[in-house]
Amino acid sequence: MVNRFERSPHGYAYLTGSPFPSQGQAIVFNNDFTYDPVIETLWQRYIKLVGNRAPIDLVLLLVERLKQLFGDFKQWLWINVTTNKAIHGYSIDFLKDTINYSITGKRRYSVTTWEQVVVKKPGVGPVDAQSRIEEFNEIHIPNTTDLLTNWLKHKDGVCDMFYTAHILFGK
Amino acid sequence: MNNFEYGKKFKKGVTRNQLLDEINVTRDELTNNTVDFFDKTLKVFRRDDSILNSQLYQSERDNLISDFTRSGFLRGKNPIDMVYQSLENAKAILGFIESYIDKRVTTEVSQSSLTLVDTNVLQLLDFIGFASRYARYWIQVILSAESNHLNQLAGDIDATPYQIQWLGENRDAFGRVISLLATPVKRIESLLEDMPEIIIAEANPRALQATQGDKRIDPLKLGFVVSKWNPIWLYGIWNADRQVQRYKAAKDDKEVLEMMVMRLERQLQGHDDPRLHQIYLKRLAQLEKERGKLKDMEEA
Repeated sequence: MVNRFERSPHGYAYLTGSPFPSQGQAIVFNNDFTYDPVIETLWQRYIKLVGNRAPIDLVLLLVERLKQLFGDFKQWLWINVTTNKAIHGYSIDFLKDTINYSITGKRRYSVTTWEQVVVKKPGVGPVDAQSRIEEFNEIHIPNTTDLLTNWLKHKDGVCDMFYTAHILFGK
Repeated sequence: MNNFEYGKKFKKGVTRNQLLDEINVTRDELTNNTVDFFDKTLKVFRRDDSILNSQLYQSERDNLISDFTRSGFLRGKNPIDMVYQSLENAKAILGFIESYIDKRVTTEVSQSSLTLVDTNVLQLLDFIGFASRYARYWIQVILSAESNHLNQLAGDIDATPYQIQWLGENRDAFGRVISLLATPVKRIESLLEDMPEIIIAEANPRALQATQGDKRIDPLKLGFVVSKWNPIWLYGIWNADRQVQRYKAAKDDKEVLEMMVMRLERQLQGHDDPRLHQIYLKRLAQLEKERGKLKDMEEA
């Protein structure tokens, strides 16, 4: 059976439940843009909080869900960068800035600015896999656990993670 | 402004909590919006401003450097980086202001109890808020001029006539304030400690100037900064609505500025992104409304 990747409204690919394709298996994307209902519900709960200070159980739910959606983060990134035709330009730059944030706690551009410039329901474009891979040459790609734990260590890490999850997989 | 004039214009009393709130809003605006933007987003331009070739930037560049170096604490040949260094230092000054107020003001400051040192501290706080805002408005015009220069639209910038007028009127104050805010906080502390304990309402400025000399009465040379904006203390622009509005406008400033840098970077790589230009023009129009509201509140 072929595992189809969903595509979020901003074009990012993700799997919900089914196992990651093994080597040699075809990678197929759904053409509709579908948000992840779990992320969306957590986001709605987050933005209704007074003062944006999330209780720990809400943060843990988000981390749990992101772990499922990313699976192996390195593989997730690989699929998106090399085969997902719906992300290009700023959608790729946002991924780089996000990895950078998890490592350093600094973003080049605010996450709220990214939300406005990453294209919604993007068209598909050609993927020059090689040049895209080269864009990540200088960046150390963390595994899922390192990515998520380092992310939360930063001062505004929780807020950044909710916002980022919303852009990657939310409505 | 001259400290005695400042003290005399001080009409309404200010409570300790109002002062501490104002410090917090100023810190949020300075740290999260202005300095953060200069630190990360403008890093490329701080390292090397020779990529900025608009006539607007080039014609003012040397004057800015000469104004910023006046106090002797700023060095360098890049005005954008100098503004960043000064504002970074202003964060420490703000810490000093907070501890001063915390110790000095138990309930309220009023005209009858205002000392010469108090007016210095209040003016510094006012200057930090001003410099933080001016720096963003200024860089917006620079980025816009650069984008249009690259698209060969000389003379066109995305800014309102009011903004341009405000920038022009306060340009001299900006040069002096950036230079001043680069003063190491230890130096400010020791200068203020050496000042005579004088209550403004009871003082005779001329006699004091004659006996003490300008250096002791105005060691930071605040009297040379002619402000065309309304210092909040003097005009009682206090309420929480204004503080919220101030923070909101600053946050939106930052987003628009970030988009302008994003676009400029693409242009410098040789491919303009018209979609991004459209998005930020739309955001800029909203921002003008935010700034307009703030202006109305501050001039009411």
